Amino acid sequence: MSENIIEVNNVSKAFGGVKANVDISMVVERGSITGIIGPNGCGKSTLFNSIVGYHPIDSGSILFEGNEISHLVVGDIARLGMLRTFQQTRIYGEMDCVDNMQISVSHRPGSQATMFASRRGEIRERAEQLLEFVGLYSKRNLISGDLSFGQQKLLEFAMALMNEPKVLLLDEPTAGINPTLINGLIDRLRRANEELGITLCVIEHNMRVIMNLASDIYCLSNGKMLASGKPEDLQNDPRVIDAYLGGH
Amino acid sequence: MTNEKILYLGLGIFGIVGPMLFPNYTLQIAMLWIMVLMASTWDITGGQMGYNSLGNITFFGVGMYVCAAIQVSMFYDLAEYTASYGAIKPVFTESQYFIGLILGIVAGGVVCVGLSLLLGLAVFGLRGPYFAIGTLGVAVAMREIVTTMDTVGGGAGISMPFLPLPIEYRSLFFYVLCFLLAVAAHFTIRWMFSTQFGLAANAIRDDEDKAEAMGIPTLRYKQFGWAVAAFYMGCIGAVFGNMSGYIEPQNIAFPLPTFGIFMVAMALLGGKGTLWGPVIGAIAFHIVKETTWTYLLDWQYIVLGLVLIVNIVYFQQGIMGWLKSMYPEKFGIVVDKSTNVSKGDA
Amino acid sequence: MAKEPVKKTAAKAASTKKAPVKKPASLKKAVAKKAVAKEPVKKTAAKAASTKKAPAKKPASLKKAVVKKALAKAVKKTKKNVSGYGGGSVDVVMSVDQVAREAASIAANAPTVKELQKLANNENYLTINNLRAGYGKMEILHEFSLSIGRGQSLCLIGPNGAGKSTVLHSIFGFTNIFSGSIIVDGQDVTALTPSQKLSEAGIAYILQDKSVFPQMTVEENLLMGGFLKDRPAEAKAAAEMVFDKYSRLADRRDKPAGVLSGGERRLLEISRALVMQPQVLLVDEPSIGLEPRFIDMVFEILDDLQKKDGKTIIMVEQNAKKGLSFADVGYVLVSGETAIADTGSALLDNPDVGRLFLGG
Repeated sequence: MSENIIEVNNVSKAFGGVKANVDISMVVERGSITGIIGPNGCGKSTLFNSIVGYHPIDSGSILFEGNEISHLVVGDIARLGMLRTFQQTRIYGEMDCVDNMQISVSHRPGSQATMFASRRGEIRERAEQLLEFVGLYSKRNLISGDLSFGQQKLLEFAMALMNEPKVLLLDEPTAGINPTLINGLIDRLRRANEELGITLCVIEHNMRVIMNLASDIYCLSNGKMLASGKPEDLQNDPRVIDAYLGGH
Repeated sequence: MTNEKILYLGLGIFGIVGPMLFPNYTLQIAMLWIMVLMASTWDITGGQMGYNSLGNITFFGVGMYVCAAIQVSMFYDLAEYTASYGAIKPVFTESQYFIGLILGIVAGGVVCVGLSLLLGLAVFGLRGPYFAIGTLGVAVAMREIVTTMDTVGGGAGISMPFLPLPIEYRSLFFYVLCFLLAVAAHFTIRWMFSTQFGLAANAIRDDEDKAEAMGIPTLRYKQFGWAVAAFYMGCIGAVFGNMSGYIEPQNIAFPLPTFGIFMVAMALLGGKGTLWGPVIGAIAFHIVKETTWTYLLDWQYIVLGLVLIVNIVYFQQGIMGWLKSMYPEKFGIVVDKSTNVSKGDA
Repeated sequence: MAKEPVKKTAAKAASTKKAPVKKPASLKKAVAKKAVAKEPVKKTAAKAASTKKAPAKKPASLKKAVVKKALAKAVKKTKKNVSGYGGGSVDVVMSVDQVAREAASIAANAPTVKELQKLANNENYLTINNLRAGYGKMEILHEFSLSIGRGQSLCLIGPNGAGKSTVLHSIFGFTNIFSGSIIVDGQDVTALTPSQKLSEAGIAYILQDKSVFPQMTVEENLLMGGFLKDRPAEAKAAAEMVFDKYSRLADRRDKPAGVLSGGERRLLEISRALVMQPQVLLVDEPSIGLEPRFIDMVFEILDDLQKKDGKTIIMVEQNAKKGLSFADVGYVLVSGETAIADTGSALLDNPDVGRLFLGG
């Protein structure tokens, strides 16, 4: 069992003339919470997209549990156990919350979700439990498209947990969320990490979140890896301050 | 839900008793069940999955031809028969006819399933309007291909074997087949959508990329849904061919501008994406169609066209959608009146 | 004992005097003061109408939480503060329902209209009177009232789904107004369309999400801001004024707006709204999605607009600490109603507000 659940080796990706990622290398340790920070347009989301198979990469390799995945498509990678959430929250807007949860159950080979599994049984129970975990139990029968922005974000997070992924890539999970709820989200992320063993990789702009959550942080800038290390180190790194945090 | 039980009871009674009460209209009522089946199966991929197909009529025609070919070729040479333009008048014994018919119907359905799987590989890569046009293209192509196949009569078609039953039972016989197929299709669809399949279908409709990103094997679900639709369309096509007594590609087997579009219109009118929407839409549409045919013949297609326009412009949610918004509790939809939910608020 | 309250008011005076915008410095000060002034916090807390209920029930745990916070803050004080986000811990975890319940008990002592007007220095340049508004048939705001003076800034904070953006939407005309009125400078603007709000009533709305036209150049985006002007030449002149003011944009006037960095994009969105020379700016989440170094920049721009150009600013800001340190007045919205209203710095110092809405 490799210690690094994700390994990104010298990955480059360009769109037309724009070099979005240039020779990026990073690792995510199994069971850890890794953060990715950097200015807008530095290539964070492109890196995420490359990892989950949203587009092919130009060069380099990406390993998941030791196996090369850079040639696989999104669905295959999701079925291997790597999920991502979206910056613009995406849920199934015409279905109610419980249904959103039920269909998010894992579709890996050997899972409970056969094509004609019942909608009333165990899957539904688990769905309701997780809705309770994120505080949406009372809204479980509402059409998800009618929820407020913050509630939809919670739902998307719960849906990801329902899938029991091995790794969860979160793209700015707390943007637009009210500060007290952020604390709750971080608490649940930590618990998901500690109790369910889900490895997390988080893109964030909220320093309070990242510094309190991540054990390792990578900072990108202009498509390249700028710095990496422990939160305290990066906070004081002059390059990071210059490119991203801003000094005062 | 007692409302639903009442509906089933009413339709069931009408289905069984209808032809007895209105023997002159037996075939019209049979047509009603055919429309119900067409609209319901269209809705599997259309309303529920968001893949609006304009080519489901392909399976109607293919099933029809497969059945006819089997019925004739089991006992006679098909090419000779069609080439003779009716000069050969085959006589089928009862058992010959019925065996041929049953085998033909089943084969029609099964061949269509295979066809849908094959076509699906090509068209399910398309989305939205491209999928609609792609499937329309498939239907047109199939019609033209069949027109060139002399073995099955080409443009002239095939004269169907005669049902060896007394005339007064002819309509009733086909009526029963239509009714049973419609009922079977309805309950198959009802079961399918009560399972995870229904959730997956709606997820594909709401956000297919998200579904893929969550690991749902969307192609598999799309193929299965379309295969079920293809099966029933093939079967009902086979029955319809026998009802008509004579089949040909342009107007009977692949009636694109009429039934091909009607099935979409009916599902939209009744409310797509629901179990009863297509049924109610088919009934309403059929009633309008039949009454305008009787009383306003010159205006029939104008009226039908107007219904379609009003539906699409002002009434997109259809009858079921409208009922659901008026009486949400009766459909088990929870409306959050107590707590405050702000749309689009941070 | 006498010293502490004096220190406290001194701190308050200090933080309000220093244009409530220059950030990490005053924020640090306020934080340090909070850590030191435990007792007076409890006193002022007891004074404030809000804290008659919940905190009174559990003074012990409040003290513990405050002490814990103080220690954490004291430790953080020695570390380099991250500007834009005041650092801080994530220890105060409460469920959404818990927050709602405690907020509801606070809301039971909601501020009266008189108190709101007092916060607006009784100027009442823009007032909302008993507004009931929402989307479709759904009512989000219940008898909501607001009062702001000319050239003041007001920040709305509160849980997600409370109706903050709905307030802005209602002022600008995007919602269904069931009853109540909105008065700007004596003129009833409730029924005006958004275009009229912009062209006649001098109210501009800056959206929450990316709202530049990515394929049009910066200059074209600004010209679009002046779309409602009678003559294109006027729009062009106004755009030139914007370029004079913000050289950063002038440097990029021919670039497509899609290639701007986050901070520049927000700058463009704000300045585009300025083309019509509005008096009132409705800013929906000025710092959302922005990296830390631009957050301060955006607030500096807004501060400049308020202090130098005399604009009246009403904003929604999820980065509540930043928003409250910037704004003169703050309203805490819960479930479509104002639960607490006070000056920005007073709300920052309020431990209940801190616990329930600022993440501790």
